[in-house]
Amino acid sequence: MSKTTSMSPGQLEQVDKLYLEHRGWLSILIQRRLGCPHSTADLVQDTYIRILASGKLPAAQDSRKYLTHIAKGLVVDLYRRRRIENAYLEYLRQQPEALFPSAENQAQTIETLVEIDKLLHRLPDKVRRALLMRQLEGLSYRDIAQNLRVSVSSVEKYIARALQTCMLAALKDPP
Amino acid sequence: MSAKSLSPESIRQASTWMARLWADDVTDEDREALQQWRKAHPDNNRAWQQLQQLQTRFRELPNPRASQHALIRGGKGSRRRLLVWFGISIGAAGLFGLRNGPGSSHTVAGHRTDVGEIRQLLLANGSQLVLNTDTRIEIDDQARRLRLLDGEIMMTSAPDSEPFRIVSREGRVRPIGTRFSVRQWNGRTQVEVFEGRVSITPSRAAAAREIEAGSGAFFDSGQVHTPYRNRFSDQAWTEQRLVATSMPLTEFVQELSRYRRGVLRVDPALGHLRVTGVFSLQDTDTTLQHLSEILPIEVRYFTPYWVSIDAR
Repeated sequence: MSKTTSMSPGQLEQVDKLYLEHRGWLSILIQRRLGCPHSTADLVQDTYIRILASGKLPAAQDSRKYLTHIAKGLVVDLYRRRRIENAYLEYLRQQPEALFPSAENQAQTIETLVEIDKLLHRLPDKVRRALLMRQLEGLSYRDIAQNLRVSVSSVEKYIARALQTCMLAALKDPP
Repeated sequence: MSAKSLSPESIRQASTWMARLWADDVTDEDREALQQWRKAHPDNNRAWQQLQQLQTRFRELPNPRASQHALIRGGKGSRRRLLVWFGISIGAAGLFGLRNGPGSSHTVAGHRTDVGEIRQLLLANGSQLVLNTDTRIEIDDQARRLRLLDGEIMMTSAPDSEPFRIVSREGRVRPIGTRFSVRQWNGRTQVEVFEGRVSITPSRAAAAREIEAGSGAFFDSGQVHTPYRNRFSDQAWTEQRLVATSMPLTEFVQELSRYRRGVLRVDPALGHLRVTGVFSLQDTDTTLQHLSEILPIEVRYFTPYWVSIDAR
């Protein structure tokens, strides 16, 4: 999860330059994809921060393509966040109000959920659900097996696979 | 000792072991064999520990049913390729504010980060807040006031919302549709603006002074000092990065030491050396190691918390 990249002073200048030259059209592109001006400014900033964090600069002729690629990923992330957030709030709305966590706790829970979803999203549905049942509800393998209508030994394999994927995703390099 | 150097095979085996350990029919022999496997190779043990650490994220979730609903229902969206990168919240440990029970809408909530921890919060008005290492704040939602007691924050104000004012020991900072950072130093406050503007009112000054995007300024309780130009990369800490452009080594080490416990001592005779690059704030030991590869210095560990940097 840790990596030290190096950028020369010249490269850092280039990031500044990329920012000044491209932020205009990039804002328009992001806004068009999001369909709303909210969050657009944030995503523009985040795009450049990712370039800094990755330590990789595009060749001059690829600047647009590279920025677009990063920005698209960020838009996808934002949609992920909204999906998770909506599903979570939808659940809360069905509960008695007394059980509502504070707005702040809700926000933090959503953060954690989004992180977990990032780790799990590539897994097949059953594998993913097996892990969630074990980790969130503490179900035994037998109960999970019944729920998913698979054998207990399959559940063990699902769990091992889910853990492995999670771990690899958590350790993955930036683009 | 970065996590990345773990072999895929050790990760695969650790996962298989954990799945076995959780099984309904796990035996004492299984447990014994697991211990043997962990002892067999340092990689095995590290993979095991990392995997255990990963499980803590699930434990951060307060409401299992709501979480499951969100992840199963909400997770069914697009399966398009996603960029996986260093998220701020990766490694941000622990939940904050869970002690506030339901219905506590007007409270002053305190938050703090540990040394080396960088954490993101969402404020009630939708603004995003990042707390840098070793930071303490108090948030009053109703009064829209954030008190910076120690450390450093980055605020990205939500559009069309009533903004939070930041109060430091030396005065107030009022954002005007903006992204900016505030850092509490000893006896002074530093503000850097990346988007929009902010207005600064030192506690003993009669008038406010505005700072524009692309600038930063220090202020004490009497006045705002002459603004300087900031760099885009000054906000890199929010992504666990320290970006240095020809930074004196002593200053670099001072900055890095904010993110680690213990003593990080540098020989003053090395003051002439300069550092350039993008460095990790997440794993400062690795950063020190990289430093010794690019500069003629030697990094010596007397203990993990007592590190000395001398000429090689």
